[in-house]
Amino acid sequence: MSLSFLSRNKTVLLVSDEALHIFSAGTSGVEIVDTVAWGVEDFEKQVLSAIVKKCNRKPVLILNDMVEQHYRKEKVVKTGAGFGDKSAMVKRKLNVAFPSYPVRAAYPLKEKIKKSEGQLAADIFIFAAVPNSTQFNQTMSAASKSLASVAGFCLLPVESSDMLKTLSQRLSKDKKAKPAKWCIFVGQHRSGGLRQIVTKNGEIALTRMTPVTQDHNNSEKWASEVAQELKSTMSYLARFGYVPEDTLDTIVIANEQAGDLLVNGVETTEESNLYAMAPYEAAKLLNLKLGRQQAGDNSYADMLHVAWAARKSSLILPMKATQVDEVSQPRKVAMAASVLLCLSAAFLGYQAISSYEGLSSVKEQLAAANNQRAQLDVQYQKELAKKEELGFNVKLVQASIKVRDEMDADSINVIDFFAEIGKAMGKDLRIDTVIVNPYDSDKVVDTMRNFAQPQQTRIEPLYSTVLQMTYPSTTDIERGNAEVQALSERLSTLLNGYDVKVTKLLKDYEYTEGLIVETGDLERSDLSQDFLAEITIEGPLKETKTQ
Amino acid sequence: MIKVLGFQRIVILAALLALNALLGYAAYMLFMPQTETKNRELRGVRGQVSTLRADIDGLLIEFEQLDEQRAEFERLKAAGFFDGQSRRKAQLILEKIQERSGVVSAVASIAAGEFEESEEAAKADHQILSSPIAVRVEAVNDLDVFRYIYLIKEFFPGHVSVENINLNREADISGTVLRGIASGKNPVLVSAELSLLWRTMIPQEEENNQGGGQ
Repeated sequence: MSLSFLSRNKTVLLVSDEALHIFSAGTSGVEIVDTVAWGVEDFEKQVLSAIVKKCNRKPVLILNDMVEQHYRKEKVVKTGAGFGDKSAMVKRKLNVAFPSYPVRAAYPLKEKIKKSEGQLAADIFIFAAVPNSTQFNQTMSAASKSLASVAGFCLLPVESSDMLKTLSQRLSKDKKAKPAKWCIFVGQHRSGGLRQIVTKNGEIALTRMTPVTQDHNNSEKWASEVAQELKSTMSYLARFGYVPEDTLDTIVIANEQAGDLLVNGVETTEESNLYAMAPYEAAKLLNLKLGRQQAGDNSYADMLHVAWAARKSSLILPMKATQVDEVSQPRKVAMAASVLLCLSAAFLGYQAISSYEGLSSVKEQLAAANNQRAQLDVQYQKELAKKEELGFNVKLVQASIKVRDEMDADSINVIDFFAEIGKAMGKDLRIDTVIVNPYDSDKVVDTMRNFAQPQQTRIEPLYSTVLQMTYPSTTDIERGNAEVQALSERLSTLLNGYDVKVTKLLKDYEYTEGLIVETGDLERSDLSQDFLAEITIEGPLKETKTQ
Repeated sequence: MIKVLGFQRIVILAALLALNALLGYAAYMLFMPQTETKNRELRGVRGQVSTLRADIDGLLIEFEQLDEQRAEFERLKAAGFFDGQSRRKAQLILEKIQERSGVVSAVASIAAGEFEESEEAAKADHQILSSPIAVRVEAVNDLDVFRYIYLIKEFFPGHVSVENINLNREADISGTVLRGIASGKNPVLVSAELSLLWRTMIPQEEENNQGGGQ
């Protein structure tokens, strides 16, 4: 099963009026496999055998070269409708143009009709149709039974029209010159008919199929008959708008002798060129391979057409026919499905391989980790055994030290603490009351602190110590306050990690909240009472958890 | 269908479909779930490996610290940290401390003991027995009070922490006080209310005497 629309390997069935010519086209060239006349009894069997056995079921391209093929130039008015509507309009026009021909198709030409006064803009289409002939049905039946893919059914003159353009360009001496407006390709097929294809601006304008002599030994007769046919074609061309001032390239496929006779026998104008060449020369210009030549192949052009059509990845005018669609569509769908399934299989294969590799890698890592765990477990058991061999309760040792440390952390070393206070006091000061209490965090009204650290650990003092000192009422207040402040500063210096603050001065001049009451009371009672100063020490700081 | 497509095409399509199904099953139903399971297993084993490593490291550190810790443990043991809280023994020790500290008087009251929750102690199948002690001390000067506290902390069995202190100067030195001292009396110039917490770590199954005493 090959990709019929991409592969260059094709079986080309050239449908002529006399017989079906079966060609095998591939990268090595084109080879005629068989010629089966229409009238033979085992026609289908022979064709099947050729397609299946000789051509290895390569995709089949059916190239119609029969005389009865109809062309009509039609204009389709531009209505501004969408693509779908336009397509339907063309289809409808095609049905009207060829109501009794089921095999038909249309393709747009570059030529357009511009909008002018009294005339609508229109596209020009070539409508083509072939009759539902016995030959066509026989060919389709054989192609269907061969089970080979059907690459398409097309008309030889249309598919070869672009070959003319290419040949004309390659033959032109001045490569930069504009290609000839008109091109005529003349070539005799092995069925005997002389196929003439005329293109205007690279698009098919006219085609003719006429019988000429097949006696290639009599080159003079052949050249004379071809020249006569060429003359007839030229007379037709005038009806298609040809004028002698137009550029014209005429390419004739013939053997060397007949070609020379023809070139010498036909008059050409200044604007026209006549080239005669053997098929292999034309193939060389077109970069085509014709493959092994048989006797007489040097005079026929049909292999050239076959090689050109077989090389195409898309046809200019694929003919629409129920018989073709019935065979080609399911096979194309099957082929597309096969391609998709192949791609899918490739992707899934990649996924499967990646997953398997991933699994293998994880398994390896797991084995290594298990191994490591086993080794560590052995080591751990050894260490545990060593620990047990020590002969004492290691847990108790460690736990008791931790418990003791926790207890120490929660209590204050009062001896060292009082020693530092003593140092700060000096010889002259004395304290009347010392109150040491665990710090009560509930008393703290520092809402910002609570707000900033809700439900978290916070650092707060472990203890709060209040030192109270009494001064006689005769004390110089300023001096006394200065002494209290100085003591506070000394305490701050000595007690690292403690917060020391004066909470009560002898008499407050700064009207702090706590002191206004005290001072006011004193003034109201007007008593000769001792002054009381107070220093609060909070610390050491400890991390505690809030709830 | 077979007439149009041919047996070979159908076989190829079926084979491709089967191949896709097989590969899809292998990738998505077999290998990927297995990989996921093995990955989970791997994460678990790696977790166990790191736990074991940490345990081994912990053990090695413990070994390094063990000599030091053992000496500390012996000191705690000698200090009665693992003993029950015998009120009689405590009374004798308090009397000695009062005598040696030079305070004028010290009245100590040991409240009934309670068990404190301690995660660390529980790990070693022990619990904390905690008994509050309230002491009222009277002394000639504050140094005697501090000495009293120092002696309690040093020589009382187990762990004693100071919870509250309320130290007050009761009187100033005057002629009367000096005359009292000269006559051999010890006038009370300083008084202190101490709240102490006596804690020991005892085995969980041991029944302790939790009664109070003075």
